[in-house]
Amino acid sequence: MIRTLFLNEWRALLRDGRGAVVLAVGVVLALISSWTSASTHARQDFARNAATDAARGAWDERTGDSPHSRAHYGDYVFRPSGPLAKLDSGLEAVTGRVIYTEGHRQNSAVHKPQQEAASLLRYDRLEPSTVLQLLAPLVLVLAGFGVVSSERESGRLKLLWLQGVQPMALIMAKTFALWTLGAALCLLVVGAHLVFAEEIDLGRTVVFLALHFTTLWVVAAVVAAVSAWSRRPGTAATILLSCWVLGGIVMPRLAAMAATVAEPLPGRDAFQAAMEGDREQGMDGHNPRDQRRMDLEQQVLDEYGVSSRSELPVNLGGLIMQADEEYGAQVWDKHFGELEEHLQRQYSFAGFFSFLNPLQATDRLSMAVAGTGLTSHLDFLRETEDFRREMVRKLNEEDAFGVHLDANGKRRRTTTQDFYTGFEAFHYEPLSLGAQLSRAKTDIAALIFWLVGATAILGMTARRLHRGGVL
Amino acid sequence: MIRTALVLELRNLLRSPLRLLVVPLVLVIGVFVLVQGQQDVDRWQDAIDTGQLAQEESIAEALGYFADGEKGPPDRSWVDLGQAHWQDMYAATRIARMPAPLSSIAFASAESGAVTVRVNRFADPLLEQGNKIENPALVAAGGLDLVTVLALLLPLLVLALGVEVGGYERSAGVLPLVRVQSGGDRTWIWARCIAVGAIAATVGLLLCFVAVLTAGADLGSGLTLTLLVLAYVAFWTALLGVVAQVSRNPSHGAVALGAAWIVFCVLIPSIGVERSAALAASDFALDLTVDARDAGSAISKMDEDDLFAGLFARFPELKGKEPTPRMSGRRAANEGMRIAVLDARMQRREGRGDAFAQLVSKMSLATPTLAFTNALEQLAGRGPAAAREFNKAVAEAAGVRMEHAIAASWSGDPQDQDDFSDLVHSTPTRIQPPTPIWRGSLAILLAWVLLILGGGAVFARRFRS
Repeated sequence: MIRTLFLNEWRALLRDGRGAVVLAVGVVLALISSWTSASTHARQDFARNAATDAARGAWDERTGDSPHSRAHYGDYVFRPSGPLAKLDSGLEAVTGRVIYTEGHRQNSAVHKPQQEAASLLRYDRLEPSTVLQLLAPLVLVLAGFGVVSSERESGRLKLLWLQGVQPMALIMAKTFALWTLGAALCLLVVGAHLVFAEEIDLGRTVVFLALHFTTLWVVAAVVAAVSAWSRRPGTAATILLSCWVLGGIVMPRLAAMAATVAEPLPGRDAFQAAMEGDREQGMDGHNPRDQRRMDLEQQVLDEYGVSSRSELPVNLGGLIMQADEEYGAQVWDKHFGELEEHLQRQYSFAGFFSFLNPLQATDRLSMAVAGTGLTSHLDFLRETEDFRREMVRKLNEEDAFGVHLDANGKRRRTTTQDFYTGFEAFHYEPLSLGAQLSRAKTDIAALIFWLVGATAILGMTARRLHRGGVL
Repeated sequence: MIRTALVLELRNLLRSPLRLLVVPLVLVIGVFVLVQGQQDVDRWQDAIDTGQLAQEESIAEALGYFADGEKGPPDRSWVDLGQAHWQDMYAATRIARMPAPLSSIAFASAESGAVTVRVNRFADPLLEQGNKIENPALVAAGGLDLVTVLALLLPLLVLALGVEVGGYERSAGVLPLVRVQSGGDRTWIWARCIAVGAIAATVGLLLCFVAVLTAGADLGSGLTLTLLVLAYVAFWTALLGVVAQVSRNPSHGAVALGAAWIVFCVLIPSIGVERSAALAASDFALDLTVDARDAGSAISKMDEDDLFAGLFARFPELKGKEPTPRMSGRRAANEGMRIAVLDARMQRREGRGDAFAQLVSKMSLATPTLAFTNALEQLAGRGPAAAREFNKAVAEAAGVRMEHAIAASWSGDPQDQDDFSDLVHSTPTRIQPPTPIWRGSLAILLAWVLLILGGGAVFARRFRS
């Protein structure tokens, strides 16, 4: 019976001009968003590779540097896109694209070119994830607000009861029909992605698909239930459109605002002042009168059994710089660690709104699956810092030990150009899907809550329809 | 008739608790975000004050050395305030980007440029960052400030209050009665729509009033904000009127108005964001990073004639002041060329910025919501144009510092306290936000009102026939 009702629903949807238009618009948007997103990302990948090559070329071609000068010269890391960024670009528009890695200091990610169109960034981008998380639910609302209420208004519902249709079968068939409409859009979007993509991460793509299938089931169930509980299609349309506006547009902003108010972040000045304050407690690699520096100097002299720096077979400067770096790393770990916890606390706070809004849960999970969310961004920052530390450590060690005393007792540098060209460029390995999802437990729980809740509501709706009886 | 319609709408509002709830909800959210906005402006002011304090400490330290007849701190023998370089370092003047009178209304803007910059001759405004540490996960949600409330929620208020106008009369069969009693059903429907618009406009104006009051803004800014809000409400009222003329029942009206809201407030803006992402795709800031870093060594390899020609093109006042032999002034000249390179970089950036500005202008034509948002961000002095003006001022100040340092270095004269004071006073300390350009946006909003009214009239006539 469910099958007959399901097919009948689809027939009705395609026969109805409004349904056909909604469906056609959905298909067009899905295809356009997939194509534009793919072409934008292709250009972005090309530009990033060119930038990386330019930075690497500059590093390799530079000559005449001492290792310490090279640490000041530094390197640039260009943020790579997430594995499924073509489907969901996540935070890319609002995070910096470039990090300057140099000796002595840790820099933040800078350059957000889309800021030049700041007034546009208040709105969502037309990309596959927006189509699936914002527009596909709208398609379901517009196509489905009358699935039961229209039947009731036209009197067909009584006819169906007389024919022996079970309320549960009816409501399930209608929900399933709506869901397949959403699922078809989903398959179209992801299918287009597979066509346009050069590399495919099948595991993430399947999870992305499953996530949106789940959400669209929740939406379809809510649409069918509201339609069944409303006396008139107009009431159902009004309620469902209001819910869509709240869930898709208003509540994510309210959640962000609430998190900002509940867990306010420090200002950049205060943060930097605290970091610089702690840093000053360590040795200043450029200040020869610093007490800690003098202590280290004495320690090295003792170690080599000499009485002056000129007798040392190593360059003391390199050792001091490395000691300063290690202290700076501790300071950074402390402050950045606290800041990271703070950002995570804000994010977790906003996450509780996912229990009120399934679209938010989906949005956050989608970014996690695509590798473009906050967890990925913070991981990228940590990896970049690790890269910087390793680069500076190698340079400092070369600065310290890449010397020898010649016959006249003068220190000569033995560093060759091969030493510099031997540095590997930054390579970022994204967090695994499992690691991403393990940090999104609240959102997973919220989505399960909505899945179970929405399906339970269908059962309650069927019972209500049953009690309503024929007359 | 409008008065009768207004009384009816107010009575309808009081009768329906759900609708009655919507009005205070928008007001409460609006006031709440205004309070948050004001706190954001306070933090902005704090950043300026902190910079000012650091500047005063640095200047006081230098003046102390002059007073004691010392060259600099006793544990830093290499510091010599008699040299232009160290004077430049100790005259740690901060240039502050002052908030606009209505800055609080757009505090969630994605533009987060620097608000205070320490100026010396090496200052690079393109690499400065704002005073806010942002959580990108929250910024990506789109932000909630008065601009969002007015741009997205005010139209929804018009929709919520007017969803059944026209459709109800038609479905309930009361239109013939209205025609008999008032002479024209269209006039009545329009009167109801205008009444709904008046209620929404009152809510908008109340929020404007609170915004002006809390920010202590001037009358001009307040009037501009009021005009823009009225024009925006007029657009949505006109749209409501057109839909109300043709909707068969409230459900029909709800779907039509909902679809219009989605197209104007979600779909078209989302195309704009996608276009801006496409525009930004190829920009990995090589000019600001790798090229800027390597500019120094490229300059040091420049032919001497080219170098001095380039330098004099940027600083014509220095021509004829170069030392003899010219080679001895090369180091200062190299530094000076950095400013010329910075200017060139800023010009290129401006070109890119113009491309984005053109995109925003084009998209503003496509939907009044973007025209309105853009105008309000400009009014709040939060947009990219304001950030760009500030950057220009910083670059200009760095140029003045550089010119002063080169001239002093080439002359070889030791610098004294008067030179230091001149240096401090030659740097501007406050940059006011640029005059907001809002007339174009207002014209777009009014054009949209006329378009909707004209197009709606034609559509309604066809619909009736």
